[in-house]
Amino acid sequence: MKYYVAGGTFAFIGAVVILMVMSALEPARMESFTQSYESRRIEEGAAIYESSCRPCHGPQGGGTPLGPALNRANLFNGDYLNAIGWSGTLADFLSSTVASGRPLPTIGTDFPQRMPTWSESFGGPLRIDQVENVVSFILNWGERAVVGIEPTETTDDLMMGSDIFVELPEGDVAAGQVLAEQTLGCTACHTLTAVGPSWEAADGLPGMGVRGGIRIQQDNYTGNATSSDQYLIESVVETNIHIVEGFQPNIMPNDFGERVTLQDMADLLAFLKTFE
Amino acid sequence: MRIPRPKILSLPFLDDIEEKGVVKASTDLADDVVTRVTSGLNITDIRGVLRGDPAVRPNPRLTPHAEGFWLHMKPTYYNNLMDGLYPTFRLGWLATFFLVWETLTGLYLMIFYTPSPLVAYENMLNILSNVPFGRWMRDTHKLGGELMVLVVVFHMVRTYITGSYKRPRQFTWATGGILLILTLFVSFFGYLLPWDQLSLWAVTIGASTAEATPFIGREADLLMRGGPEIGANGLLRAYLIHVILIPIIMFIFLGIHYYKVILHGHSLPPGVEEPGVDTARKVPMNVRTYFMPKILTRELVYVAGLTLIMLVASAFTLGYHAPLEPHADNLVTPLHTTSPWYFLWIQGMMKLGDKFIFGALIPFGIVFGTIVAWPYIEVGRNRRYGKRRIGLSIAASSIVLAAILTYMGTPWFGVETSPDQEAIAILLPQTSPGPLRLADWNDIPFGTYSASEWESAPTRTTSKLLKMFDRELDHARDNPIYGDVEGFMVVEDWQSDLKKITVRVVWVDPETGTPGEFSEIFFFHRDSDYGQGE
Amino acid sequence: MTDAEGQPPEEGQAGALDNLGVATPELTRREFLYYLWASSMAVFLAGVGGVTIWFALPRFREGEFGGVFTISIDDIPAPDTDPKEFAEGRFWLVNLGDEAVNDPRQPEEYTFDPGIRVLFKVCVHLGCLYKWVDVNDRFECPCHGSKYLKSASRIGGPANRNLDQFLMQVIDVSGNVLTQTEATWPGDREGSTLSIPAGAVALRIDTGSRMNGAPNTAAAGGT
Repeated sequence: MKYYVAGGTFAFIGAVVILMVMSALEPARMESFTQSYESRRIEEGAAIYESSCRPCHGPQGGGTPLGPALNRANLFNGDYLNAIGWSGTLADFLSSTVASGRPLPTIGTDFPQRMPTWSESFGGPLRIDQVENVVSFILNWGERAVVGIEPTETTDDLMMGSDIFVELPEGDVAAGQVLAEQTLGCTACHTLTAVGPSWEAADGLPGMGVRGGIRIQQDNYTGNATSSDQYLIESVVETNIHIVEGFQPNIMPNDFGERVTLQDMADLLAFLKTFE
Repeated sequence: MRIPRPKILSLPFLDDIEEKGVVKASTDLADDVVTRVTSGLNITDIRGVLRGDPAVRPNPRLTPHAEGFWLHMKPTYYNNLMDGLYPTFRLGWLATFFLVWETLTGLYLMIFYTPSPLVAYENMLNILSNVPFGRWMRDTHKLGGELMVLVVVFHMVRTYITGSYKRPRQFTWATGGILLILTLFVSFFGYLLPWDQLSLWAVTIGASTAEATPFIGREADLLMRGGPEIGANGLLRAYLIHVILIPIIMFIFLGIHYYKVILHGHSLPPGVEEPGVDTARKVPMNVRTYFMPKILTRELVYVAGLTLIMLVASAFTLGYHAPLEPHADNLVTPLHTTSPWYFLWIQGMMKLGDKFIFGALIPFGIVFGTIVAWPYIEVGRNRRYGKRRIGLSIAASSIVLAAILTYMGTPWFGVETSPDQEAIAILLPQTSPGPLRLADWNDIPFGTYSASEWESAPTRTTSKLLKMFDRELDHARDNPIYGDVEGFMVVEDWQSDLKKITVRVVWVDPETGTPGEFSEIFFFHRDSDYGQGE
Repeated sequence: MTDAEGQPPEEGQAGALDNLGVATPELTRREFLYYLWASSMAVFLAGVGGVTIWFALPRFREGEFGGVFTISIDDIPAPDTDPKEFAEGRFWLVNLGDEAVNDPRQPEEYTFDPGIRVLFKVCVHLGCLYKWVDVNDRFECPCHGSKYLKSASRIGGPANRNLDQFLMQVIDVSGNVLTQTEATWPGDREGSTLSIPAGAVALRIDTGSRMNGAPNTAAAGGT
């Protein structure tokens, strides 16, 4: 009988000790979880941005002819908000813009289309928490934008776009190799497997650096390139305009034009031309 | 000594002071209060209980049972054979403990929860991040609920094995069967409240079974959901059912159930009595264990011990933590979604055929109906194990069958998805964080990696992930419609502390030579810290 | 009344009670252990009570009314200009210059140095939000007509004290507190004005800590 009493006593004392230890650990745990779910908001926002916002605002927030850049420094250092006379916080500005869109063009811009509404309160497809997730993602550009790491200028000139005749700067082979093998993941389909045409010389055809010249002479060529180099550029930015026999359309991502800058394209071209 | 006071005022306490002096009057008053509060035990009696003294005659320890509210149903004595953990393992008591535990923790959680889809998920995040002991409260509430289902089932199995459902205890068993059904449903409706993907889809699966009922199915479903799909109305109804409707019914039935248990007395082990004879009610004096102090002490010890165990179970990182998946989205069903584990057997059955027959008629009509009505079906009076071989075999095979059906209800049985999706789901499952989300963010450098070259991956983490990926891809390689299967993981620097990870499977159709690819993108933030138990 | 059970009376402390007829048998080990167990349960329950309160007490994040607001030094209005309104924080920020110090309407009992103060927007009479009336150069409450100067001193109306203030700290770039509100009236009332020392970067205003204004019941202000 005494063992029961002693056991019960120790159980309660143990419970008190555990309570005290937990109380000591709670503030740090709450901090950590707050940080954790704010980070998850950014992740969710990134996914929504990728599917909904990128076509107009660019893959790295760099802007396109359809929408302004979102990773620019003047957005995060307060200049832009002062210029337009917004008296609230940047988060509120972004929330309100994403939620209700832009029924009228911003003064001083001439984008061809209006930004649609996104929040379900205004008939859009996103829940309120999804709008907040996108805002968290955009705000995450602040750190790099203000310090100037990300491109802060944005004109459509900088991105490659789909103009295969545009003049390219001097290209760097090593940079092109990094782009192809790491950053853009081209090698995943073009050298490591046979999903896309191989860049190496194969089947009686020369390497990709020279192959373009042969392709544009073929009867079934449906693209616009007039030189081997232009053929290569066209393959990157206008993926569906000509599909080599034996391969399928719509497999290669068709947004590289918005993802690479002119310099990137030049570097890639330089690297591709090393395949002979 | 006279205390001056107006004659009109009648203060018996002051009279006592005049008669007996302050000290004695005070101790008498204290004694009196204690006797009233305990419904019959004064201080000396209580001390006698605590000291283990034999009771005086007339026994004051019976008065709280006879005249008090709290102990009016509790028996004043048990049979010696029934005063310990064996043979009942006090499972009925344990189930009641969990009911009380769930009620208390549920009340705490109600302080911070509003049943609206607009804020429910935010409330969960608030509870987990801004309420001290919030995560513990939620974890223990969920753990308590799951354990309660388990304990109630074990209690039913024990009662069946000892034949304690037989005459005169048939109605006790029937109310117990109803309590089992209520426990399952209160747990089921509580599932919806966090409003994350698991909540929404697990409950949608269950609710769609209701829809399968002929004639009234659509109406039954609409009643439950409050709308064409589970939304604001459904959540509010589930909340009310979970928080007030079923608890009220449960307390009523618990009262009936326990009253009947005490009325007939705890059934003794079958070997002790003559077959067909029930003497539980009449406990001879020499085999009595009185409630005070022995049973009371034991029950308090159980409370103390269980509180400690429940406290520790969710207190620290290494412990039980309830998952919180992403916000509910009724446009996207996660791969491998399942119903709560205690309904997996129904899901398993539903894979056999018609939704109504296997999802509603058999489980709720036949299985639960049989359970509740069993004592009226099987009316043999003999409780001894040797004479109940058939019944016990039926029980054993039912348990085995339930286990098999439960396995059949899991996503690994009979759910066909293509090997490429399964391969990616190994790294990026949709119902749990999975190895990629739990991996060390700092140990996954930028680059493109192929699965078959996992040995030459630059870091241990990448190597392990790719190896897992490659293993799963072997299933695709075994499949003749996939040729040249290869997997890739592309890691890009996307934003501050944010990596974009693309997991891709590419293959070539061996007959036509057409390439195919399937990929999933995951944005990984350095601080998202998925390893919190979800 | 307890019935004495004929147990031998104990000597000493118990003896006194005994003479009154209260039974006091010796404490056995079992009984003592029960009391120990009960105390441990009491401690545990007290802990549970503490946790309950900590669990249920609302918490205010930074920027939420009830929590701390951080305001940059640049947002402080110039001395002797109109008070600046901060709706989310429910306070007015006033910068009292020489004009305010020498205002003839200022009741003499409440002296202050030039500096800034943070005033709770709620009138101390019955809880309405008072307004700044520029033309009269004073705060006026629309509900029952209480009037206050920019310095928070009441100069008329049914209120019975000066406006309440929030505790404020002036911090530098590393977060160190350079100066903070102190009480200037007995009973921890009437917070001091704060000057802005060199190196100050921001103000931290804790809307969870409020200091009452000094008592003020005379018709035209004062005690």
